[in-house]
Amino acid sequence: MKEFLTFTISGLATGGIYAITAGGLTLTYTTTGIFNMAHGATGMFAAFTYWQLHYGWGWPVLLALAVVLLLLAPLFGALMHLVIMRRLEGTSQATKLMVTVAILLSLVAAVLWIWDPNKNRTITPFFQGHVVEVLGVRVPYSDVTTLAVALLVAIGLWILLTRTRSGVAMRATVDDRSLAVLNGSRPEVPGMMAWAIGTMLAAVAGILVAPKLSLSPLPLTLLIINAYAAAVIGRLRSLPMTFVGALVIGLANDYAIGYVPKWETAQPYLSGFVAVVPVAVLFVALLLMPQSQLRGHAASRTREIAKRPTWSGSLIFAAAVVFGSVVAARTMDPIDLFSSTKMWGMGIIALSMIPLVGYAGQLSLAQLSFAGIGAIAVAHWGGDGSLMGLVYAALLCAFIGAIVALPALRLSGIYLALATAAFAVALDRWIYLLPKWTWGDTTFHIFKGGTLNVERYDLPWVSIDSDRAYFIFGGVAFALCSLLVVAIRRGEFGKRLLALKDSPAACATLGMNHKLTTLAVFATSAAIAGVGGGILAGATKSVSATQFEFFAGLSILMSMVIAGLNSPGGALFTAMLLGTPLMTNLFPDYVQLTTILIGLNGIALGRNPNGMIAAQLRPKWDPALKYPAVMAAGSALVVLAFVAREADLVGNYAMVIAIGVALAAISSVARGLESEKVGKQTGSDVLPEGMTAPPEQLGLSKPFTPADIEALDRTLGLPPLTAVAVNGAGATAVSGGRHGA
Amino acid sequence: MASIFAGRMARRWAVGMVVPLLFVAACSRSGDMRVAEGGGGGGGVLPGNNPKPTNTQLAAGDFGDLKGLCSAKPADQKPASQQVRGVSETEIKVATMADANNPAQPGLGQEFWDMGEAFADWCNGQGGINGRKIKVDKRDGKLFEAAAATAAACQEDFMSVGGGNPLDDASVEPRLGCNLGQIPGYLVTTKAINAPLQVQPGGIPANRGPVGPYKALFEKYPDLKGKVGILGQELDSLKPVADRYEDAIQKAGGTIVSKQLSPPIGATWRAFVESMKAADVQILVSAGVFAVNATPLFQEMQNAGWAPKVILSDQSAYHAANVQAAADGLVDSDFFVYTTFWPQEAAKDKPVADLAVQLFHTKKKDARLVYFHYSGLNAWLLWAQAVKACGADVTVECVLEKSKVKDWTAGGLFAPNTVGPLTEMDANPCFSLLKLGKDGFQVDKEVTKPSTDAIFNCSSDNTVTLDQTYS
Amino acid sequence: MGLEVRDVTVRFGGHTALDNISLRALNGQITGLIGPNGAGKTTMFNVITGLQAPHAGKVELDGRDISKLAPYKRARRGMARTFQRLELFGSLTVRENIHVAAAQFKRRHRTAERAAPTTEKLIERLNLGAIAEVRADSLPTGQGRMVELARSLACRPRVLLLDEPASGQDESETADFSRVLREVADEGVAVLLVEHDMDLVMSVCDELHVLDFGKKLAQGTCAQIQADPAVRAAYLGEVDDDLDPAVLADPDDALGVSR
Repeated sequence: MKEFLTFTISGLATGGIYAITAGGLTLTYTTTGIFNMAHGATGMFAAFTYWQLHYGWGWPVLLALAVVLLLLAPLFGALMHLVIMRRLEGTSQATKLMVTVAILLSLVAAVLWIWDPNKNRTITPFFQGHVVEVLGVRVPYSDVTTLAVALLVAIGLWILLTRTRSGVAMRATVDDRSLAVLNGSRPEVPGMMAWAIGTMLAAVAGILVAPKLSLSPLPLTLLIINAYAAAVIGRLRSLPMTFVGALVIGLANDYAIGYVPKWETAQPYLSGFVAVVPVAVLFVALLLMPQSQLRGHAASRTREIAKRPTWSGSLIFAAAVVFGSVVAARTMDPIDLFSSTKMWGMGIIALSMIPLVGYAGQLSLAQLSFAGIGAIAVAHWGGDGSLMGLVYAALLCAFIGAIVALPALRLSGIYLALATAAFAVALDRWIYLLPKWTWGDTTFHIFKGGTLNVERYDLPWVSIDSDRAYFIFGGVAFALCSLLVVAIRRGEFGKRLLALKDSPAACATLGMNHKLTTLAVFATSAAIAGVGGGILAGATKSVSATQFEFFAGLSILMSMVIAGLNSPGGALFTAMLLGTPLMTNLFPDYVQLTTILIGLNGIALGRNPNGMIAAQLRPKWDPALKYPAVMAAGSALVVLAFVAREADLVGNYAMVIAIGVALAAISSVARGLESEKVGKQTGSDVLPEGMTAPPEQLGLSKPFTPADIEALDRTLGLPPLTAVAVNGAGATAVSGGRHGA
Repeated sequence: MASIFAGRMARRWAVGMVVPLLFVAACSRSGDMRVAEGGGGGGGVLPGNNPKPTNTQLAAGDFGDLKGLCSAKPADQKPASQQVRGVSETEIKVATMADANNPAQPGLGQEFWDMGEAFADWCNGQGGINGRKIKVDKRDGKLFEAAAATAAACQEDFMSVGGGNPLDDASVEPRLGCNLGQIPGYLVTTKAINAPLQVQPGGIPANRGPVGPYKALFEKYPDLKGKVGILGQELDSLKPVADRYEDAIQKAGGTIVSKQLSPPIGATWRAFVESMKAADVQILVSAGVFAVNATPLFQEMQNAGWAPKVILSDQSAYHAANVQAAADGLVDSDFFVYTTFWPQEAAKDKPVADLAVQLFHTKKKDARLVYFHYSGLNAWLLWAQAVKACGADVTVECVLEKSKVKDWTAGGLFAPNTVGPLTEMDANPCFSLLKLGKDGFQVDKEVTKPSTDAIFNCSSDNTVTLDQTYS
Repeated sequence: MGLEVRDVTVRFGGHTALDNISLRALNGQITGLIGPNGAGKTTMFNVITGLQAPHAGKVELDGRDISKLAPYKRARRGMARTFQRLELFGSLTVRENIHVAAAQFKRRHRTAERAAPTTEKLIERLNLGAIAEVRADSLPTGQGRMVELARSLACRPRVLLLDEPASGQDESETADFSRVLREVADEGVAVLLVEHDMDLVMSVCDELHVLDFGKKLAQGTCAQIQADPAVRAAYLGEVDDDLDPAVLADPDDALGVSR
């Protein structure tokens, strides 16, 4: 009995911390609609700042606390809203989530940069040394404080959101921002307040938990995962339930620690489970959520627009990839080449996200985990290099993907993301670490105590053991997979996926059973990811569980979102960014800086949620596809440059420059021809005098000028406006109304 | 073998989060880059004990009983008869492997680089080895790039000395492919342990385990040997360590009442402490938990009002954070660490131990040495004496051959051990128990009952064969 | 036979959206469902298609009870629907929108015509050729309505439910729409139409049901409904012979309905 009490009390203390964290998380989600994955990182940053003020510079405790909690944290939160969050209006869940991931990565990088990681730092708990006896159990003051603070926070937030004007305003803006604006509310203020308070709570949680963990960036950041479950138990909106949920998780966690080891036979298999208890609670909570209604259009309208890929463009892309891989394999430094062999595996994993997250809009965070399963399959059943290993990988992953999808059928949006995250974390912390077990005659040992070794594949006529050959093999595999993804998009399946994403309600009225389609897309993309994992394993020749860790998958997804979730080009970009030493080579001394830059790019997604490729690259290249002559000429130049290099007529640099020039030339020449053609077409309808641009572009890609307005009026035969009305100040109702001012 | 570095691995699992985006802390941190420092909070200063420098030995190029280890080129040395990668008449390029620039545990292996450079600086100051100066190439495996780092070393380095990587199985094939011989500071994976073309000065075969320290403790605390607990970490690399210790403890006559593995991140120590308290653990054997900053664990023990009477750890717990914890009054147990080297606290009793400290302090003034420094130095000394013995023709085969020294003591710094490939070596039966106090880890001769060299107990029944090979 | 709704009641919290409503839409007929906003018309549609479970009542299709079936199963039995707020597949082109529906139908009916020819025929029939390759989310509402209708027809429904299809359409589009509806009904489909555009309703409907505050106010032919005083009081409004010029001058007030 005494034992039970002690675990109960220690569990409550742990739960207190989760409660504060989850409370802040719920607050920001309820009031902004954004699930802030950087919540823990923010708390971590606050803890480090507090350390610096109090331990580093010797400020008194209360002053340091006050400055961090009442000044710096709210300020940071308000800034986050102003600069980043409010631009995420109308973007998809994936974009919002990835922006917060970008913030997380930037914060961790910043901490590693500012504070030397080699030094050990600790924060002593508040009231260290003082304990109070509760029912015969010694409880330190700091734990009591934490619980008390958690309770205060829960009550305070509840009062704020339901009883105060600003709280109600906060809730209004998330429901319908434009409506709130029309009714006179200034949405910036509630938004800023929500983020300020949320950040402050993250800081409180960070400072309270830091003494228990020794000040280290990653553990503090990752603690957030345990708090997700509490937030979900509260349905991401009920603060009392969140509080209760957090306590439940803390208790479950500590009971598991206390009682699981007593179960002798299962202990080796369950010891890892102890580490994932909070995640298991999360999963169960998600399964017990009420089924969401079939959404209609309004819920899913987003600013992301994906253009349909063309076969000609895709084939050229694939050919370019293969050609590029041949060129790179022959010109890259052997060491760089060796490091880069894994880029194609990563690229295929990134490709697998396109059908699932891009087309179908299902936010799954577990793709890299499927790659891990694929790698395991290849290592165990590949039989030293047989290509069948990849087949097995695909089949196994498809099967598991379908199983994982089953809970997904009832979940959507952020809940689906969390469910897949729970799956991924459970794999990382428990399944991959399972000791071997025997079933009948066979022994299973998943990661053989650390790492698996993989042979490169045996192809019928050619050996791909060398780095060069394997690199090209990877390039070919990537090209084939990109064509597969395009085929999906252009085929029936892709149309169904997009239809399902756009309007599940309409799909139901057409007789479509969304369940089968959802299962199919999960299985397909898991299979592709599995193949990617197999190819990745062959590249590095040894795989360990930590390579397929949950957060690594977030990095890949974030990069895809930055580049453009619907384009194979985005997958190529991701592969180059994450799979090659490109960044370290370009910025050897300031790699920390590049991290922050990448994070900032992710944050800039709010401005342009379509991603870089759709926004920047595609417009520059689309015209090229219409002029096959230009493409042919340019390609001939590129091939010529390569041949010249092979024949040793020119050096590496010369070839690279020649290729670069040829590619740029294709793009510019094509665009030039295009604008000429457009000019000729509209040349007959001369622009009305005074107009600065064709009327359909005014107000969209070019701003209205007063001259434009006059020209419009003249063309429409309307009487000219007085100068006063043009300035829009106190105009009469008639003239103002016509221009919809 | 995994046990030797065990603790450092504790945080390795959390990688991947940012590794693919190649985030790394700046490799070389000059003083002005540190924006925010100052104040204590776990620094690395050697408390108290600062023996007077004895520069005479250092100046002579001797290291303990390794006389004339580093010197200028002897007059009668002929030129080399063959071209060997990384070796010229005036220079030898050596790779030292580490993983300092990774986000999960930044600074992992930094000690190898620091010690390597310190050794090279000192040795070059004497003229190098037979006139060939050592150039240390710091190769960063960044946890997942060990193969790439090895491939880079393959371009220009002679051998890999005094370093190591947690995921070293990836580096085996590149290393063998380019004949890069190795004398590492530590080895982890089975594949790396069984690889040819290397020797390790201090190692233990996978199916053998030390029992000497346990037996010594059981002798000192006979009532407690029935109440032994093991606390490890839920990491694929550290789980086998806990299993090995369990096996060895039982063979030493102990009874295990509690064996627990804590999650590597976000461990709520209170529950573990209460669990151990409920099982009445009196001797706690650490399988990695004290290799990192264990202050939170100590605090929870104090909160619970309970601590095991004795804590025992391998060499991975020999670090400054534990000393700081003791200095702050957090350690209520008799905390022992068993080592095979002369610790810096004993420097005044053994000139060569002092030498090691002095040598390192030429690079990092007043820094505290940890186990990796010692194991790195051990490798360097072994390698250096082999290179010297090879004379003019320095080749990988010659160096590895000359490294197979019987009763190698690293100039007297380590307990004697016969060096060879790990597949042929036996476990080192020697150990010394150090007890943690406010002024560091002091040799506890009463418990150790030394049989050689004043602090080591080298009785032959200090090691046993385990029931199985724990990978 | 057609669609039959019996005694359907729906409550949201304390508010009764539908109170014991029954109606029928027969094959070959166009049945109209009219009433002020908030009367429960869309709720009725949701009940019929299965998106909303009623607290009481039954829905029958061709004599068989479909009350327990999921929406997609009802659709497979031959029920199609358009939405008040356009539910087009925005990322797809017009052609692809129709194709998805046709392909879905083909999948369930092996012997049916293949999806591509069906799509082309519908595009031609509804005059969508000019916009066939346009992305659905860039269409103006009027054209979008036509596309939604085409998509519904690709499923060869036996019952077609249309929720305010005329809103957003101009005069000529409405005329086209009426024509198509009539053709569809003549082919034997039971059409149930919710609409505010009285011109369309009166010109096309064979029978009308009027709802107000969840209760059925009246039922009958168009002429009967137009003459019904209760309906006029609640919804249609009084129509004066000498119209007030001030009111007429308001261009928004095409119906001459006084406020």
